[in-house]
Amino acid sequence: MRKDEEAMNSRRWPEMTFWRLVFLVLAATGTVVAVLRFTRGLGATTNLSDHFPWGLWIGFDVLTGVGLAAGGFTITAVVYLFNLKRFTPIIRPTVLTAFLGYVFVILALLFDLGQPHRIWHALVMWNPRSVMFEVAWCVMLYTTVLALEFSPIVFERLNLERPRRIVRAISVPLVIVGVILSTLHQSSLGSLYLIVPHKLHPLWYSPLLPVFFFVSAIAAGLAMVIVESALCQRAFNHHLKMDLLEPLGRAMVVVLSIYGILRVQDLARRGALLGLRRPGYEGSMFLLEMGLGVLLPIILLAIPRVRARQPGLVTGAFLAILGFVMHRLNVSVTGMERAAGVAYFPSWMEIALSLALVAAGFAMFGLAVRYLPIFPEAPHRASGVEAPAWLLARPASMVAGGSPEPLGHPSAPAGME
Amino acid sequence: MVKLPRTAGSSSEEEPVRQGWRTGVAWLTGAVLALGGHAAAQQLRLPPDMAYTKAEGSPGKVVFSHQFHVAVSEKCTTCHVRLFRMLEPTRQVTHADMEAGKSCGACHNGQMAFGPTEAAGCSRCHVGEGKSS
Amino acid sequence: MKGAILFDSTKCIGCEACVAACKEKNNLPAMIDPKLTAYTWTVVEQRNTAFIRRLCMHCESPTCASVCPVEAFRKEPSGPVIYDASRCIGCRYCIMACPFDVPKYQWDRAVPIVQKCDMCADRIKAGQQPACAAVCPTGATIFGDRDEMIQEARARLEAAPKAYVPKIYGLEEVGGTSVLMLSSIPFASLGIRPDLPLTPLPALTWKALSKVPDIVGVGGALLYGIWWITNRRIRVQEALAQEAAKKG
Repeated sequence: MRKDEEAMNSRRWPEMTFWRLVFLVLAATGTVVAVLRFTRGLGATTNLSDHFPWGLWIGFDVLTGVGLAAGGFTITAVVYLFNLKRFTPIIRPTVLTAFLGYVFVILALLFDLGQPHRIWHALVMWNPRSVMFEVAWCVMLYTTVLALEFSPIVFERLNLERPRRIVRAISVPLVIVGVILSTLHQSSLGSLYLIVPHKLHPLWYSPLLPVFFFVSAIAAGLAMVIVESALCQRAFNHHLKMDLLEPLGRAMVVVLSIYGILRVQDLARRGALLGLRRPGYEGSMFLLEMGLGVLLPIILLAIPRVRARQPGLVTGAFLAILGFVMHRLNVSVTGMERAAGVAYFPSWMEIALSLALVAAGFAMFGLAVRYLPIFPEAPHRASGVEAPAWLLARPASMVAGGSPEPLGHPSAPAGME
Repeated sequence: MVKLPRTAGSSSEEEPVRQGWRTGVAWLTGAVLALGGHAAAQQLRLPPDMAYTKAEGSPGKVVFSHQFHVAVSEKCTTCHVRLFRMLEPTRQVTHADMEAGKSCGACHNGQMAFGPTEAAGCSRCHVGEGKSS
Repeated sequence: MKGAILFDSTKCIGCEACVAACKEKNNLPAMIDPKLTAYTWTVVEQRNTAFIRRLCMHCESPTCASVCPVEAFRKEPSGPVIYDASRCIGCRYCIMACPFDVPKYQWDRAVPIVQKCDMCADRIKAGQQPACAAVCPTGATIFGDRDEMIQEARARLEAAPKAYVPKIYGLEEVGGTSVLMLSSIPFASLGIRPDLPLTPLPALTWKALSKVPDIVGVGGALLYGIWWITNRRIRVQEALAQEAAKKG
């Protein structure tokens, strides 16, 4: 009797864990900040000013957020265009991460824009010469692509077979469009800063900014797949697919090396490295970003013994993400401070809202994993809740692993289909 | 004639002061012109004396003179636009306004400058038509 | 007529008549901020004994108009760069990008817009002068056809070369501006950037944007090609495997 009662109780009141408490606190604070932002304006809630119009919400929420969601286009390209089918099991969580990432970016933008209710203006008021116009359109279109790439998962859950087949049929063109759109806007976020050569510090300003943003986004996307898998392992007691993640780690070495060489070469050519002999504020931030976020992950992930083991792989990936975040913040904040004549640090409200949005993203991820067929194996055992019937009753063909079925076969592996 | 150098401030320090009396005359001419120009700048193009609308019971038109008042402050913003419009002057003021500290009354309150009292003398402001102060 | 303002710092006495007129014309709050803000569209700054006006430079190839995603800024043929508040979404790219740090934001408002000098575009259209030029008592600020203002500036430089730094600021900076300035001391001492490029800044982003069609075309073809090749390889392997299975 006792066990049944306990089971019933646990179903009425979800257990209050540390992370759930954190989420509640962040959600409550975020809501308060949101109300303040819309009633009192940006000046009252942020440390932004005419000297510093773009801060944490652009530098982190938008610039970093878009980059960290880059796994969406890289992994779908790997599976659908390069036809490396063995990576299929990581498509669903990666597309979920990417989709949630872009939703997070758009939500954050709704707080940062002065008149967010006019965000649709870019649809009808065009300025093709503006990089921001191009970013707006590419992000809008790509979020739609992500939604479409994500939809079969929802259709499967709702047993809507026909829509699922329709989307599955256009998967290759959809992925191609997704890669092109991603290439365009990942690089364009860097192009935004091309127009301020007199403001952005030479350690970060370069005519190659779009290339830097694009290449670093690829590395960041791969790193996010690894870190996100590690987080899922801890949260849902999954088995970490090292056989799939280790090659991603190897790819990261290549991408990060290309990125590192491009950056250093560009800086050397423009004579910007000389200032590093006695690094000041900017120099130190640069060395931290490149050392901790590029050089160290390359070294770690290049060593096969480190890369083949989970702690090494995840550490390398985490450092790369740290470096990526640092790069975006260095471009948007550090590099702009000297010319602006002010030092910028976000207000507690800016930080609170960003954290609340991140927490909401995590929460949505957890909900999606619980109610949608994101992972082929049952994720529910760790939380003590019964797995839903549809998951237990699914056909064997949905289980990942084993030999890849040919495309078009009705029991093709659980990817986007 | 002194040549215009390409970049700002590059010529004087570099060219040796050897050219003789011609250079001296050129410098002197330049200095006189500069001073003259500066003096000319002091000839301020101010709005002409303006007559305010004569209200019922007023002993005479009030005529305001910028020429007289610019000596009070070197900044036009002391009075404009806080107290008076510039582009479209109202040309209207009442004693009630002045006593409330508005318009002329911001200074003409008996402390900073004479106030709108009989003791001060009505004709100090109400100069009547065609007269400037 | 393409209108332009000529500001001659040597004639400026710092009286701020221009500031006051601007406030009145645009119904701005009377309080005068020391630097440009959303509520003070022109200021007069004093550097030792010299005065310098700060206002929108009304560039010939305006950076703000180029970066605005919804085309809220427009360079009028009559000279001014004007702002359409009804289009603005508040992304603040214009504030970030302007080489002269001109556009300012209404940080205190819940529904904010960008604000800056518009060279009294409506007055110009009605054949009048901008308010600042109309009230300047010394002629430090004058308004006229841009070419005539350049000629006037050149004439002044020639007539009194020792009185001026031999430079018409705004003639060529960032492709030229419709606010031209003369000064007796180096412009850098007046707080005006001496290091701006002579080419318009929008060219820098256009270099990147003009490649978009290529990326779409070449990228699309490349990606389709990769899929086609790798897909074919798999299908060939499967066909061979099936044949082997039939035989075996």
